[in-house]
Amino acid sequence: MTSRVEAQPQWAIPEKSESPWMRALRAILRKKIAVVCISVIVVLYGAGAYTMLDAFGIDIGLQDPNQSNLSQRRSIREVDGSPETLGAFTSRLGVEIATLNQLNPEVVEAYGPLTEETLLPARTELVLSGDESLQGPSTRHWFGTDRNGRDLFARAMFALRTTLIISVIAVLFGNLFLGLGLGLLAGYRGGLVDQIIMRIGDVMLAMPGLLFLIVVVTVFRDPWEEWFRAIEAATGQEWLIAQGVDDYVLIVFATSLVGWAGSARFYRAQVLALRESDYILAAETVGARTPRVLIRHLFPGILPWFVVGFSASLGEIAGSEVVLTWLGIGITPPTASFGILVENAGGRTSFLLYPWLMAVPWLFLLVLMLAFNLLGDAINDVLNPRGR
Amino acid sequence: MISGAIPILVRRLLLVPILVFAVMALTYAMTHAVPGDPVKIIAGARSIEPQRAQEIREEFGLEGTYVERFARYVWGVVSRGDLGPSYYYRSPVRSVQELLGERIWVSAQINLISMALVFGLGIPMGVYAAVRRGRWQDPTLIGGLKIFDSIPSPIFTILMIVLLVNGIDDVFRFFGFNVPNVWTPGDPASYIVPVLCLTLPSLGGMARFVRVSALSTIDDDYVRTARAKGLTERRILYGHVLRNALLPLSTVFGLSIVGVVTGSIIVETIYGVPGVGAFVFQSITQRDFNVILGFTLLTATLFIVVNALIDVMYIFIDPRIRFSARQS
Repeated sequence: MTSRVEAQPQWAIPEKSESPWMRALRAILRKKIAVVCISVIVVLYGAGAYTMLDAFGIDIGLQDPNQSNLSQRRSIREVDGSPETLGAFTSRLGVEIATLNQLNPEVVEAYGPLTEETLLPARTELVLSGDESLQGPSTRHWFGTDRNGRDLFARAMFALRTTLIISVIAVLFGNLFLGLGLGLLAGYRGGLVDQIIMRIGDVMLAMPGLLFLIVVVTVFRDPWEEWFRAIEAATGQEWLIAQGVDDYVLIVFATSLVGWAGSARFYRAQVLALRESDYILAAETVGARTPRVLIRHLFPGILPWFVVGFSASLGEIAGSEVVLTWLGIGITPPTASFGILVENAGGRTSFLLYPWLMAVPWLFLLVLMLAFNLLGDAINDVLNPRGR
Repeated sequence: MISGAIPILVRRLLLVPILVFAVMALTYAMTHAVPGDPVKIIAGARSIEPQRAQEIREEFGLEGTYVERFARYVWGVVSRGDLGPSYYYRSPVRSVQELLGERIWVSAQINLISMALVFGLGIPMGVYAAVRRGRWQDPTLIGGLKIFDSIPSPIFTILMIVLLVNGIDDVFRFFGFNVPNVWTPGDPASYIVPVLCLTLPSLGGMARFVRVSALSTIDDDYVRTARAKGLTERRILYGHVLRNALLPLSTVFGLSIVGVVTGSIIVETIYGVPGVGAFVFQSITQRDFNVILGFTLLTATLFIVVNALIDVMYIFIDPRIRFSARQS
């Protein structure tokens, strides 16, 4: 009787080991709330990204957010002493005769149903389009219209685009580039670099936040537009100011300038805790250079905190756009943004009469900011189990 | 016992004047980099005779080079506590500290009430959430409070005004308060809207902060020891957990004190409160840069001093900080 000895080592290496990040991602996706939040963010940001196609001249099936649907009147012209025919009138202004019949009951009553050949006295006023201002939600305008008859659904979609652009660039620039970059550098290099970065940060942190933001924007507002005109002239890209790029960049610049110090200080503290770890020492011993140690070894260690901070600041910046624009120093009118929508919605009396004007930006922002907040919490729970 | 703390203490306190000076230089540079000649802003005209311009320069201390002007400003602040004249209020000329002083009291009242509510309600809520960790009460409470700070303040303020004036005004009328739709001097019911607008969005942050800091001590060994020796849960919570968990709150407390003086730009502007926040915003639109400069300096200095005091306090309260200072 021979016993079969299985040649299986006790410490069998699993064929495919899952990276910690995949495991974390799985854990996050197991949470219902996180999945809901991610879907909400994807849908809203997706809508914002979709409206960007408009800038490339693609028809996106939305009304122009700046087209006002106010009532328009035009009068019949005199051509060579006699009034123009209705056919000439409609083709000149591009309206349907059927619409004119609908919108001008008094004229129809006086002269009979309008046709191409109808001759109306010169200077007869005809209503070309119905007044659609301040309508409540309907099938034609899903979210209603504002004071100028602009379609709020289209405006909200274009506002999402503004939010998407501003928040993503601001977080990438302020949080990732300035905050994380300077925080890592200060924490890892220490010494004079650390002193300089953190003392500048101390000054920034001491400034009263919103006021500092306002001052920065006020200071740079006028020269900013000149610079952008110069850039437009130099590059021949005439759409920069028309598409509101100067506003975007100014807000990004201001929020980053004001906000980097807090995150830099935070990341620096995390780096200080990690710097003494054996694996960092090991990497240095092998001769890894500073950028490599920072990116390959320190960054993964503080990634959890970074992800949480990233998620939270995306929501925060969407909020500060509204505050700045409401104060009159953020996005300027031709561009649609939630701040502009809030500003146009007016105050209490206006809310009581036309609640949808305020409800649209409010609900969008509430859902978006709540989604970012709760997602940040969910990620935090998974990545930093100690906080539980 | 304190010996190890002395160098760190000195270093920390020495930083205060340096930071204040840096803030002053930065704000001065920024407010003077704003496009628009201050003389023209003061005169309120595009073109003025050189004679009048010279008078204005002398009156407002604008003559000389940039460095001279800055030096004069700093000297005025340091020697006399003088923040300079307002560009806008000129007949008679009012100084910035006077204008701010008149308005600080209203803002301070509102913010003190709101601060008391935030601490008084936020701490119990956070502790409750920590104690109920893992059950439905914790996420419901913390998530529910999150709704309030997920609304940008202009929207929140307008919604609160609508709610309190046109929605649940009967509740307040029952208690004898008739909530006005705009700030009315002398009417105590005027405080309801701004206080709630400042309190509700801060509650969530406070509750989360207390919850996390309670949770970080709730599993500590000394808490287990207390439980092992048979103390009641109540005594463990109040006597052991909270004593340590609430220590970090002193930082939050200090920073809230700064907020008391600064008021709130948005709430005050929308509700028409004649406080510091609304005044500062008005000054920005009027390009009254001495007010902005003075106000920034005031809050920043307060912030720096309070922060330094908190750090110093920690050195005395928390022996671990002294210990690490001695080691390094």
